[in-house]
Amino acid sequence: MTWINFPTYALLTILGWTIGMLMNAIGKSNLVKQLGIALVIAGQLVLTLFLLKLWMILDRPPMRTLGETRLWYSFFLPIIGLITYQRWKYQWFLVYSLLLACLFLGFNLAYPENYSKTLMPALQSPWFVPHVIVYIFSYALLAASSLVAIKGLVFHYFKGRESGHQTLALADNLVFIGFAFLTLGLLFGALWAKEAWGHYWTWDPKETWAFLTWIVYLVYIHIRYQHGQKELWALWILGLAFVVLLVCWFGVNYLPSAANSVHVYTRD
Amino acid sequence: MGSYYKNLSLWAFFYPMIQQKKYDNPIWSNPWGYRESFFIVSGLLLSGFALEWASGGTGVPEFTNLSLNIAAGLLVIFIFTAGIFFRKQVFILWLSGIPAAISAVTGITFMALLMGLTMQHDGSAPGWVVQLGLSHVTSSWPYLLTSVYLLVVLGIAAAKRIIPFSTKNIGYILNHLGLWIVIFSATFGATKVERLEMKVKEGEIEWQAFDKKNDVWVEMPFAIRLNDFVLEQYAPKLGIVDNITGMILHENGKNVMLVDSVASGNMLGWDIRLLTYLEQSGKAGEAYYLNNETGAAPAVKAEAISENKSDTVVGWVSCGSFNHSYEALKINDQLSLIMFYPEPKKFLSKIDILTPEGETTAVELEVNKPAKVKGWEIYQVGYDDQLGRWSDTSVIEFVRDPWLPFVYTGIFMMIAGAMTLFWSGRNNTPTDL
Repeated sequence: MTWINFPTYALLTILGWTIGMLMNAIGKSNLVKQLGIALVIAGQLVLTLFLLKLWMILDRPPMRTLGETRLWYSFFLPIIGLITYQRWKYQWFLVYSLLLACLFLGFNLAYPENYSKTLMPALQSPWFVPHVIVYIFSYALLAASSLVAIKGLVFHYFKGRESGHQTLALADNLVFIGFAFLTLGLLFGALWAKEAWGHYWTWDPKETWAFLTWIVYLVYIHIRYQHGQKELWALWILGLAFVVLLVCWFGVNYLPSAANSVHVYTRD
Repeated sequence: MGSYYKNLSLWAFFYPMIQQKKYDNPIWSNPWGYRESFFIVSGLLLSGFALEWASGGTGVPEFTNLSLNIAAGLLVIFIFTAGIFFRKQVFILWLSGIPAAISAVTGITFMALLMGLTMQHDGSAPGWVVQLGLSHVTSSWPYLLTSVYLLVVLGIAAAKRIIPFSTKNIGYILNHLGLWIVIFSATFGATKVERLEMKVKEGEIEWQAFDKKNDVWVEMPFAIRLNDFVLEQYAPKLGIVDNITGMILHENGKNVMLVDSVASGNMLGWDIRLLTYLEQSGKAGEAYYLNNETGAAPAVKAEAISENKSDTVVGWVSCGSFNHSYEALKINDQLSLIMFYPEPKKFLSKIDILTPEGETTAVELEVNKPAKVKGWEIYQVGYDDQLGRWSDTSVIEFVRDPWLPFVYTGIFMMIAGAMTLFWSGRNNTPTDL
């Protein structure tokens, strides 16, 4: 129905991203590299257009279902990749974030959803958009940081090289900003919950897992402050933290403890 | 370093932690580090579970107001004295250090993990789950002990950065003191939260509300008159049901169509065309007609065409209401087309709040838009589900939480703290670490 021409938009986006990425990665001259970036941005604009259109057609923020949050994830990852690339010149990082974004778009292509216009009254609040946007943006940053961690761990165990300060310095930058947004998302959620349900924190399973996610990144930050030289610890914690984050985002839907949660993305 | 094989195992993760301390001082000699901290938090957890088990899984008993205030006061005094006057003491140094902090956070994480994996307040939980407190983690002994440990550790750490004050520590103070205030007020304020529910009928005045927790009726310091209850609904959705099992074959929402402007859709290979849509209908014989009396249900005349166009079925579908029976359209031996009850779009109560002083305040109460009166927040929570849009009853909740201003103070400090984290990032290392 309103799933309309998502495949067209998604394929155009993926095309722009992959060709742009390849031009940027393989291209010898500066011009080709710059054109590659331009193509990536063009792909991004196509996705932006789709999101705007979807928002207008649905007449509600397209942030209710798991598939819709995946769209936003694909939207934010390239932005973070581009900024990181522009600022710190990490080419591999741009490639990873674009691949991950393509993966999520591809997932939505393979499992199309039937977008529904209905939005339960509890979700109709000015808090809805900031809460979800801040969260998904933070998830994208933290996913990026875990990519860094995976790279560091692979280098350490399979290539016999130390991961190096640079890798972790990038991870730190991503985690600090990601954690700031994670905190905002959590607190916005608490303020909204008070408006909607009368209490700011009820240990709903999603809240419990959001708290767990928050706290694992908190441990990472403290370990980095106190034991900056213990890079292997940091890499492992970062990897573990992302597992907890994924449970919070997807896994909660399948946990028996969450049978009655208001956060289980609607299944109708 | 160890062998390649050793590196591959999980051992590699723990190895550096143990290795670091291997040839250091023996355990329990000063200064304490990670080993001692984790021993202490494990001890707290074990004693907590033992206490819980001994109490038969009834959880922490409800404290009287007086003892609760004394406990809160003592905690604050201890934290401030320790953090300000005894900060150089070796024990306090440990208590406000990172190893203690990590151990406290790990303890809380462990309890939260248990909570995240066990269904809370589940009446059918096995006996041992209840006796260990796992079915009511937030009111269990191990949770209380680890929370207090966390409060002490976090509190002293914050106190040490507040005095002497330095602008360099503002981010640190906002984050840590903010979090401390939130946990402290949420923990000690939890027993003071009052939640009462009121059912009020259109045209009637009600001043009694029910306290579920204590199982008593409470007389409110004001009365509520419900002038009107309004429920707006979305258009209904159509779906397909298995005739034999009665299961809805929605495939994660794919085989559901909203009866909106869309005139056709495809479900399980069947083309569904909407011929007539009556938002409210009555039934005469086999046909439906427009009707807006109480209990009039939506109805759709639909045409279902099979994939190879060999079968066409035409008929009416209605979800029914408390007053009318539903109608499904059988499209073949296995499948039927059905209509779901329309989902609520918005519901609100037009109420008057009447005080004994003779004041009348008109309020429109809606989900996400609570009202405030005399220290109580008023929420729209529900209505008579059976009657749906014809409900003449509104369910309203009253909430009072005297500690809320403190919690909000903490929350806004943390929001400001997150901003400083965002601006200064990794470089904002606080002093005295």
